[in-house]
Amino acid sequence: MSSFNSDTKEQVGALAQDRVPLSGANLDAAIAAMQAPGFLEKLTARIMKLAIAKGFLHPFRGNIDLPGGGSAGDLAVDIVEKSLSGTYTWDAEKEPDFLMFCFSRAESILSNWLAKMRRIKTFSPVAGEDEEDDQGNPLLKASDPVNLYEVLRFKDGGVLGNKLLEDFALDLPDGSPEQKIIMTVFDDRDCATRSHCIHSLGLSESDYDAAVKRIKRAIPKFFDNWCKVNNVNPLDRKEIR
Amino acid sequence: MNNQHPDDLSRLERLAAVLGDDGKPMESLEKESAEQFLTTHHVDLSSPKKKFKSILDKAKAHRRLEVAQAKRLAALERVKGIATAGGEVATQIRDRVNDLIQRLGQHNPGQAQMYAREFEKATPEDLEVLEQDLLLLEKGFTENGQGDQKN
Repeated sequence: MSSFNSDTKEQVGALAQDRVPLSGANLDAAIAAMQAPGFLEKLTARIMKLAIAKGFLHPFRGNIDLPGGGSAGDLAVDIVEKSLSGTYTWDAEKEPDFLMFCFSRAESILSNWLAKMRRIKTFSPVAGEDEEDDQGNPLLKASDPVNLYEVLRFKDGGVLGNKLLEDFALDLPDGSPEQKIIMTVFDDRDCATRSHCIHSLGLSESDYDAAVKRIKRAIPKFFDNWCKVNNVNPLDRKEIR
Repeated sequence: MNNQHPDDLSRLERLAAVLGDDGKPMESLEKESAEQFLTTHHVDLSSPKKKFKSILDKAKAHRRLEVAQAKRLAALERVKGIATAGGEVATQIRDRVNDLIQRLGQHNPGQAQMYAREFEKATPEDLEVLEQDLLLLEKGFTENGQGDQKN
């Protein structure tokens, strides 16, 4: 949770001086929203969908890695707590729906974390190589000591991730729908949704979904082999070449 | 579905987003579909739910305290208002009696002095009695004065 905490510390620090706990009619409205059926479920699900859309779904393991290692439910509860305490200021005139306000906070947290990670130039998973960098390197504080997906998506602007994708596409059957999907994702900067891919490739929904299933089955094994070939070993914490 | 432009995503992130997109828009997430979505993704909300309930209970308790405090303050204000109104009435009587004593002094300084001594130590109830006495006296002076003029 340290990355998450350090990421929100900036927001908390900036808002601490003006922190005013929710009260009066606004507190009534927040309580009413929280008591509505499925508030936490809806907020958690929307956070997950947002995280997926922003690339937080681990393509090789299938789980969603949020900043700091917390779950979407933990993030949802944390946002609600901070909104009530005044750490996040809810302007009910701008956004009357408390649920939507919490959702906007989640979007801001995830976007800020992504922007921060993209600014990090070095990603050295080698222990002790640079003591100062070790302290600030979120990679070393992640629950997974070497979160390779984070390295692949951020290191050098995602160059390693691009290589993996290229190699994966070449590994798939030539001309197959799954290969076309990978190549479209690779070439088309707008291809980040199911609907766009289907439209771009002219596939039926059932063919597309079947191809995605095949990709999901194939990619973990491919990734393991790719790591071996490229000498990437998380247990040895060797630097990715 | 979200405000981030796909241009901001790396290629690998785009693949991750595509693999995770079930095609259902975020806005369509109601309670049942949200629960189904979470079940599909093997999300366990038992621990977050406990903390959420605790936060909600604290918020409700805080609000009850707020309402109770507001009621208490409103009651105090009402009491202050009554006391203030009573004080204003007493001040008005005091001013009238004072004026009457001043006018009495023009006709009978000795009697005015006597009433002035009573005035200084008079309670609000005493002031009402003083006012009645002084009004009668003034009336008497006025009628005698008219009678004298007639005579």
